[in-house]
Amino acid sequence: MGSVLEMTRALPITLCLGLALGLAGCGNDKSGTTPALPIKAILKAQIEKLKGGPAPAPAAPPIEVDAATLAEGRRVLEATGSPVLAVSDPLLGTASFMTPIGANSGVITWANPGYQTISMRNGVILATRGFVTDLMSSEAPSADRLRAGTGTFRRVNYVLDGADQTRAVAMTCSLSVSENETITIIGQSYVTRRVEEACTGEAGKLINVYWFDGTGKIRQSSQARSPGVENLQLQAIID
Amino acid sequence: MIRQFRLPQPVLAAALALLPGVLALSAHAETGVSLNFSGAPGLIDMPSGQAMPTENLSFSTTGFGPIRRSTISFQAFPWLSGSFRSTSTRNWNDAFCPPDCSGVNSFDTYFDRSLDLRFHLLKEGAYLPSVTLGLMDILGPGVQSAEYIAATKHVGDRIAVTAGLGWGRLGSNGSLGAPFGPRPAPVTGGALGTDQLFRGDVAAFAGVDWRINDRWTAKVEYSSDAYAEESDLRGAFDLRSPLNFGVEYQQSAMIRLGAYYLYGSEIGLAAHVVLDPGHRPSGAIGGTGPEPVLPRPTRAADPEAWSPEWVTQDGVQPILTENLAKHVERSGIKIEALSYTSDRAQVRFRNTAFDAEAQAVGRVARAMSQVMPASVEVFEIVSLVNGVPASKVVLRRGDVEALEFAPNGDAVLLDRAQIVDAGPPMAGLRWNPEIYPDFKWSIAPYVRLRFLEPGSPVTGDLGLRAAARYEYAPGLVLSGSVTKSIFSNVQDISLGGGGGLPPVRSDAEAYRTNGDPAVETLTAAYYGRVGPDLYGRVTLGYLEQMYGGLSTELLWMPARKRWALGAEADYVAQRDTNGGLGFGEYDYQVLSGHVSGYFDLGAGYQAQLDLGRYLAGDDGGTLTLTRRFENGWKLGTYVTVTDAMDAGEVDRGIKIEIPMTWLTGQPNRVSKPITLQPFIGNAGARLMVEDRLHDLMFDYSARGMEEQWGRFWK
Repeated sequence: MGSVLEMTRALPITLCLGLALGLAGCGNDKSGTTPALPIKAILKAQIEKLKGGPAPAPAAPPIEVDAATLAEGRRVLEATGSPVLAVSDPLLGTASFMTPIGANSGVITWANPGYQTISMRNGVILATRGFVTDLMSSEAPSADRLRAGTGTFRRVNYVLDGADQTRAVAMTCSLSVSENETITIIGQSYVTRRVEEACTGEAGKLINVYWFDGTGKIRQSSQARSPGVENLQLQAIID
Repeated sequence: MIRQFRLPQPVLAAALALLPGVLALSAHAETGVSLNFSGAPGLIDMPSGQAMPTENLSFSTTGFGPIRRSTISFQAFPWLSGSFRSTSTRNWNDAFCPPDCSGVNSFDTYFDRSLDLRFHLLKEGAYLPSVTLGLMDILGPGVQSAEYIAATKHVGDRIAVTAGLGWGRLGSNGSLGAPFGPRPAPVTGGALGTDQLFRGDVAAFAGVDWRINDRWTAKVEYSSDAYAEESDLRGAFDLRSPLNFGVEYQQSAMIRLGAYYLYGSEIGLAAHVVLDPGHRPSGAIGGTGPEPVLPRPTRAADPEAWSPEWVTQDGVQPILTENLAKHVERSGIKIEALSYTSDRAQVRFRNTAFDAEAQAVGRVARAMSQVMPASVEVFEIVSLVNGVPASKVVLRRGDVEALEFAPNGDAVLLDRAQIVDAGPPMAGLRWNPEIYPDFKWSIAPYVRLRFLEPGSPVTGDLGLRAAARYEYAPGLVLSGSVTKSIFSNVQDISLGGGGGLPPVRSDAEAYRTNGDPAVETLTAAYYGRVGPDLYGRVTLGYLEQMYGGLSTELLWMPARKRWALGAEADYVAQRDTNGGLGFGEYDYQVLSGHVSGYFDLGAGYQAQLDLGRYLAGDDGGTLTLTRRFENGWKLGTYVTVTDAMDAGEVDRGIKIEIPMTWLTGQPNRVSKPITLQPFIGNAGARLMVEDRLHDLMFDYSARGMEEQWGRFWK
């Protein structure tokens, strides 16, 4: 009995030693411990880089979902009783549902369970957090201005560089529109106006696309953080 | 049973090449400037007129025949770069020993360290070439010293032609005469050899660099270095021709490899790794997002929420503390104490996660907006380091609410914030009973790297460290650590005792081999704010691997000044090499200490002057110049002169600290960054006590915090 107890007690330490040997480190002191380095992942990436780029991931087969499953999915989301937004980040290769967690002067902050957040005014992103490459703040056009579909204006996206200094990415943007594009979001179809915001500046160019539904709401969008970084894809599923 | 083994050299060399490669997965712009065998912009063995991109840091390891060089170079400014190099020459005494094995001929392999400075005088233009003036081995005018002026001009995009004039070493082949008079004989030791500069024979060198495509470069040069000592005098290798040829391969944006045929007789190899420490490979920092700011309802909409009556209610303080703690727990922040009046609240907190203190302050401000009753208009956020209040950020709650999504809101907020001395606690301060006493333990790998060690570009010791830390009360810390080496390729370096001094550092190898496992540290320490801008530390116990005793320190660091003053006094005894708790082996005690001046030179540069008594009882001073990058990288170079050194001798070295966050892209405040530092001799050696105050406090000072203020809203 005693020996079993001792073993149970010794187990965390033994495990810890094993982990530490694997360069992970453990203990209850998160500050003094070497952080769990993703050494294997980094090494793998480096080796792949040496070999001339990572092997292309096999394309996922398109998932066939019948109408009944979609309807069920929508019912589950509606049952949360909260607005729901679907967000995917091609840069990190993640996708998730977000719900509102805060509001400040008309800016709604949405978050997923992993605490990535997107803050938007009427569907136009003003800031992101937790996406590694974040839009820290921005001088962005209003949804009304975008909805107009024409015009030229200045946009400034503020981002942090690798030295933690705020960098202002100033751009000149112009709008163009295409009418009557039908989009489908979890089994529900919307006839939309597609507005494209094309911006260019010293740091490069970016293109944001907004799909306005019949009520004038941004139903779907593809919005950039900074030039050269892939756009976040958003769909408003439940209002 | 863990057995110790040594890594073979090629593996280590590969590790050197891989280490920064692993760190830097991002691509750097192709510069078109390549490095030579001395790790300076150049051809093969000869320098060029070019400069590296500003703030690039390069590690080079090269070799041909009996000669190996390992160099670290840093392009500090567009106009100035420097290199620190270790050179080894094998077969050094073959021609003399036996019979003459005395003096310099006692070495089979001769080791030398040198420091270079290069001034980039002219940038390449449409007609003008790029021009550099170089001073090699400026502090040790011996075998390695040379001066040169070199010009490089591109002909088309892919071909660069270099021509130059060299003195010293670089004037030893094909002399054109001595325009500035004869070169005086070298003085022994590391004197600043200004007498020698540009004296003696001058000779011409030249070469062509042909970039065949983005990956491959071919080079040819005519060398003005006769290797008089190595080849003619000592026969270490056979120099038959001044012409050198080579090809180089740009393996990635960071790594460049080369193969060469030199001096008509030798094959050479070179590997260079170029980093940009100011920029994290991942670009931005990761980590989860913050909570949003919770704006207060308007007074008209909810007058009750604005009532100040809560201040007098019982039991509010523990509830607010607990709620604050819940909001910041996910961010690795601990709320240590809270005090308030109806319109002002002060939180004292500890940051265990973020390398940028501003980010932790931002998270606390967000939590206060969520938790504090509406009547609180002023947030005072005090950072505690080892229980010591380091600085106070004072924010208006209205600004926090208004600027959360304001364009460039961090800069606007910084304008309106006050960052000041922490001052005494507000009345009614209540410590969070959840915090003290606080016990932490960890088992984690450690890496001790030394570099530019004679004969090897990098040597190291990898093992496990078990550490425990008990904070009994704010500022009172008991801690200890035990280490067990797993493998090591550290070699026994017999650099000698150094001028008859006691072996205060030279027995490092004995400590490593005898003391395994070893009690590394076992200390009781007290840290405190002694007065306005004045901090103190007392550490008692086994302070480091080689010393135990008492270490005391005071630091005066006015919040908004560029300078700080410190004083340290240590009474220590040398520990036994077996890693135990005894002091009998050496029976050596010493009172050492320094007064220190710290000066922020701007642009991330910091100067530190220490004057006092070193471990061997020698008196002198150390001047350290450090480039502190906002992201935690530190590149330092120092010179030490003490009365135990020969006249004119100077000890010099460099120290590099790489923060873990730079590697991982994840926020984490790690107490021990990876440190690269060369071997330290007995003269000019200092105690290595943990948590010296200036290092500890600077990040939390107003200046330190402003540097990284962009992270406030992150």
